[in-house]
Order: sequence, then C-alpha cells, then structure tokens
Amino acid sequence: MDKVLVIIPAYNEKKSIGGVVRDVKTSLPEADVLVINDGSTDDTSGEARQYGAMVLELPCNMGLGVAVQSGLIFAQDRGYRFVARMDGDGQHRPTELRSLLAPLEKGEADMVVGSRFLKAVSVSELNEYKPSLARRIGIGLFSGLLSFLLGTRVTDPNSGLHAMNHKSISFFAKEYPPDYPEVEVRVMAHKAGLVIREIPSTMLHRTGGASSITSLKSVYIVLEMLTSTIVGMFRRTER
Amino acid sequence: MTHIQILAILASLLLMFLTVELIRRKYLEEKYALVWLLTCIFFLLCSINLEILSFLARLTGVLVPANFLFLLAFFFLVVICLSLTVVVSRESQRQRRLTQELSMLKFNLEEIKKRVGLGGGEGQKGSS
Repeated sequence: MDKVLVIIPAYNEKKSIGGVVRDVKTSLPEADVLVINDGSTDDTSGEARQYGAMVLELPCNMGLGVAVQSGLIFAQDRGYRFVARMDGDGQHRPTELRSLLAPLEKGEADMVVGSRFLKAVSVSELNEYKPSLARRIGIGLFSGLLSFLLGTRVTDPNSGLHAMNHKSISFFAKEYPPDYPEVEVRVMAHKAGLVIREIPSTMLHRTGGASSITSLKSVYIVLEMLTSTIVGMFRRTER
Repeated sequence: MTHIQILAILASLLLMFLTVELIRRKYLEEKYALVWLLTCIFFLLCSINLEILSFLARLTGVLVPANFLFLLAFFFLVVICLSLTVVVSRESQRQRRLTQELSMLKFNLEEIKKRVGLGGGEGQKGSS
C-alpha cells in the first residue's frame, strides 16, 4: 500500500481542526494525518489528537510556509510516498483528496493543485466559496502573471490544496518559501522542472477561526508576493 | 583648538570606549565591532585634524566640509542598516531550521517514550 500523509498546518484552529481531521480519516482511511501546530495559543493540538491525528509542535508561530515545510520534512523522514496538504479551517473538502492524489498515483504529475476556478462537471454546493472583490483582483493579477511567466495556464495561484509525490516532497523539504508560499511554490516547482497539474475543487466558507490576512496588510502582502514571484524567476535553483 | 573640536574628540573617545566595553562584555561580536572601531578612529582623526575633512570635501567637490560629513554619515548608516537586515534574515532562516528540527525531535521523543511505556505520552502537557 502506498503511504499517504495528509498535512494540515494549523494556527489557533481549535474549533474546526477536530472536524477536519475526522473528515479526512473518513474520506481517506488509509492515510496518516499530521497536524502541524504553528505555535497556537489555544488547544489545537489536543483537539487534533483527540480525533486521531499526529501532531508536530512548533514552539512559536513561524508562519504557514515553515509549518508546511515541517510537514514535508516529516514525510520525507518517514518515507511517505505522497503528501496532501489542506487547511485546518474547514474550507477544503476532504472528499476531494482522493481525486487530488489520483494524478500522482498514475504518474501524470509531480504536484497537483486544487483550483477553485476550474469548473467541475457538477457545481452544486450551497456553501460555495465566493471571494471578495479585492481578493478576486489579487487572484486575477497573480494568475495572469504566473500564466505569463510559466507559460502555462494557472487558474488558482493562491490555492492551498496541494498534493505532492516523492520528487516534489524532497525538493520542497529542502526549501520552501516561509510567508504566503503558494505563488512562489508554483514558480519554484516550474523552475525545478516539476510537472504541475490543476484539478477542479470547491472551497467552502470557513467554519471557525479568522482569516490570517487582514485588509490593511493585504496590500503589503500582494507587493511582497509580487516581488518574490519576479525575483524567484531569476533565482538560481538546484535541480 | 576650538571648543567644538575638543567636544568632538571627547565624543569620539566616548564612542570608542563604549565599543570596546561592549566587546569586552560580549554584547557585541568582534566581527561586527570592527566596523564601529574603524568609524571611531575615523571620527577621532577628523576631529584632531580638521584639514582631513576639508581635504576630502575639496576632493569630492562638496563646498562645505560639514556637508561632506553628513553625506558620509548618511551612506554609512544606510550600509549598516542593509547589512543588519541581511543578518536578521540569515538568523531567521537558521531559527526556522532549528524550530523544525526541534519539532521533529520532540515528536520522536514522545513516540519513543510511549513505546517504552514511560507514560507522559503525547499532549499530556497540552499547549494552552
């Protein structure tokens, strides 16, 4: 059996993490679940353990990228073949993990990204994710930029629903962007010659906690991501 | 020797004393201290011999020697700031690595403890 690890970076997600872990265990019983507690001040770890997840504890809040990378290091260390990454706030649907992993199992891609903007055959979710105008502009900007830079169509540059095979795991365990990593990850993967595939996914509204991004900070974040994307294109990468 | 000159010499000496003292107490590492010591020496030379500054100002075409000093100080501070952010970035990279190593070690330790039957086990302490 292929060893699959589902990693869930979580910062103060006490309310939602238990449900997420439980749903992952139901949807993908053969997988191990690892919650990376990014220095939460609430009992995220206890909640996750109660529902049967393994928990990796970061002693202080280090940021999303660092948490994800910790999960990848863990996966590499323990020889997992595939890693899927999803959010701990209940916005990603665990039922989609299987289709996320499918292209990896068939050897068609090194990395799979769940895109909110690729339309699936049936869109019937009542609770479907509708980003705000500001967010849509930001997402549009980056999907345009990335599509241009990478020469392939990128529909959802900010998606945090990822799956990786061993090749991608060992590449990203070595280096992973620490803050707002999604966009830069796409650039790095492209430069490292990893085959990326986007598949349709639906995203739900968060069930608990608050978004890590506030409106005041968002302009700075966009500029920061823009810089890292463009600089990233010129950075030397070891293959 | 003018009053301002004496004041400048005293200030330079004070800065130098402070730097040496910081190194002695290990508040400042030698590799960073060298820049400051050299700066102190430059200040000291400039305040002892005013001609140095006038000469440098003439050389670069700056009309007032004092302005040359300001220009120099400005550049110096910018370079220092830049190198400090480089140091901070490098340190935070190391910190990230250490955090990740630590979390892995902790996980493995808890696992071993549980296997050996040392009790405790995961999450007894909680994180709240």
